[in-house]
Amino acid sequence: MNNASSRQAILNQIRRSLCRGPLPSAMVAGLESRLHQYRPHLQMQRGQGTLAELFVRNATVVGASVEMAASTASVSTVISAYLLARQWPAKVIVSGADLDWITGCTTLEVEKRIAGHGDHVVVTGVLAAIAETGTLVIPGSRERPSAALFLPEHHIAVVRSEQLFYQQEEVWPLLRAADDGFRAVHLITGPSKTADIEQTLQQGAHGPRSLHIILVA
Amino acid sequence: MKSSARDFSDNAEKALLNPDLRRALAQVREGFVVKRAKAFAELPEFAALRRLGHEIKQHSLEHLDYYLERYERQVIAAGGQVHWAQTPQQARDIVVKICRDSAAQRVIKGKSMVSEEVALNEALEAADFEVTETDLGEYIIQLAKEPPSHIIAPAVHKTREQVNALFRDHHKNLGGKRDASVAGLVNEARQVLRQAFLKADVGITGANFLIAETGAHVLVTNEGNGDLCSSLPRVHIVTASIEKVIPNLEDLSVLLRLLARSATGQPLSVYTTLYNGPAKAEQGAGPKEYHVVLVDHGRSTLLGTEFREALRCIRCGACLNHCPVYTAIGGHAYGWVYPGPIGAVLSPLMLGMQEAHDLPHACTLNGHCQQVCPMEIPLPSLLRRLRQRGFSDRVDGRRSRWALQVWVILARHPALYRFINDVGAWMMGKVARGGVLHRWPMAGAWTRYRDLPTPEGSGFISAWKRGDRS
Repeated sequence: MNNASSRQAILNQIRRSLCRGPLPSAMVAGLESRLHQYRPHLQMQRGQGTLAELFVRNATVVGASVEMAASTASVSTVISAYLLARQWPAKVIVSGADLDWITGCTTLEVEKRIAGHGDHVVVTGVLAAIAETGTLVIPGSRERPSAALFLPEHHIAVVRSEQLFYQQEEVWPLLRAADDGFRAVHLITGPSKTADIEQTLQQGAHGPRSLHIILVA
Repeated sequence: MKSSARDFSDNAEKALLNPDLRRALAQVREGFVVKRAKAFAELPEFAALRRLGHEIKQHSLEHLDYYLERYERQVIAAGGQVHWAQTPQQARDIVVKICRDSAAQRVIKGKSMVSEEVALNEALEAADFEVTETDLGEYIIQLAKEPPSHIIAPAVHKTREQVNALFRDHHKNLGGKRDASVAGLVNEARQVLRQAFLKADVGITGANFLIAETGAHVLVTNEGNGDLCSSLPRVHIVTASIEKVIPNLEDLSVLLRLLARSATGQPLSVYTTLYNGPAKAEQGAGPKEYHVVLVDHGRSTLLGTEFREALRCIRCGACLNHCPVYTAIGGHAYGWVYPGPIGAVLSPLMLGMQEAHDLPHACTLNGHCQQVCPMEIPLPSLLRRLRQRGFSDRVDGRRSRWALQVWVILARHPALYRFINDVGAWMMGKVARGGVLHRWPMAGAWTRYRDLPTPEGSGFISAWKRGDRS
């Protein structure tokens, strides 16, 4: 049985089960227009507070930590204070072209390259952040392939306030507008975790053990 | 995997006598059930989302041929390949061939129920590939050589001590002191599996949804293992059953809001990733080959039957967690990959009534599964219909058929029914000591484990007629 004949057999059986043949073109046109209806099915109710407050609340619920930075200029010092408080080495790997503006300072060494296995802290930007669930939206790219998000021990993400949206559907137009498309778009909601042993929640299963979000005003 | 659903009664009895299993299952109720209830209590849109989710899946199934072809077109446009498998055998052959053609040795896997369904690991191992499951739960049961006992928590039946013992046996090359706490064990698995990730040639994952609009498959995990399987090896194979396809991203948002909350009470799982084709040079490092294996295994036929509603299932596991039978006996007793209420529906339909006719009877019809199902699947009705089919196909045991036939006669003759009822109650009253019976004919399954309380004199209708209405 080759692929084409299996394919045809499955499609034929589906049509038999649905008591019809292939769809007439008028029906197809209707389905095609439904497919391009980019309206959310439902507007999600927003709780009290600003977009930033809602994002902070929901990201904290899922186990991320969030901290504010007054401006992009202060991000390096915010990062170095965070590392110091944990007694981690004062060095980070910055992955992704969108964080070109980050530079090291006297208290922080910045290395710009693709992070990987063995790296302690990776710093990345985001395409967007979703307040509804405290989620970061990070597409893979040449300078920030997927593995750079999953192999390091800890992840710090920098979110600018204009990248905040309330509900998930507001982010889809950004993906549709991307020129050459993304191979992978990661929606990240908190640090890696597992409850596979006795339902005991444990952070840092395979991905980063912690997720720290710096929200730039 | 090979089914042992035929031995359901024996399996269930053994499960009930296993103290480790009982201890492990007690946590299902506290963990999943409470967290799910809390998550939906905080979501005023729950009822509306459930209705929408039901409609989206129903709409997708009614136009399944169209959406599958649309999805396939988009995958091919993104540089991927789509393979169609009617049977588990075809699915296994396709995956083994892809691995061979790419001269692979090491295969890593993310959790995929359909790959369990088609027994993919056995086929890959028989073809001499080194296969490593990377979801922690799946890894544990792979070491134990056991099937999953829960759709989303495959090793939920294992205690920490059992996991520790397995790791001691299999991680002999790790020297030094070992930490037997949960944190220590998770860390140990992280270290061991990290090496497997870095060395693998092929990554195999499942898919929670396929998007017809874009040709993406959506993968939902908490650990991050699925994304490492999808990103590090040079070949990425996705195994997905045909009913996973939905129209577009707005439809996905509705279903994602229901899936994680129903499963673990999380607003969204930690990692939800949309993958499109192989990684092109300008998109950065990633697999150079991308294959999707679409598995039918009877679903296209199921679509035309009275059981079609089961195809809306998004595999959240809520029906298992809320089922008094599942939480008493665990998943293994069901004898195949899908346990609990949804398994009691799917197993007889996929394996045949002959093989799994007992499963639809392992249900109290309390209706909890339907109440919590995010896709509003009428599981109790489907189970009742399977019972009817079992009876009309004559696959039930002779004794239960005989008992049912006697009951049918009695139910049609109310006077006779009441007379026998009253005589029975009177006799039980005579034999009982201290209000309980230690033994009673044909009630051995009950009295072996507990006393049978004596009925209070006579039946309800007799008492009613006597005017005893207090």
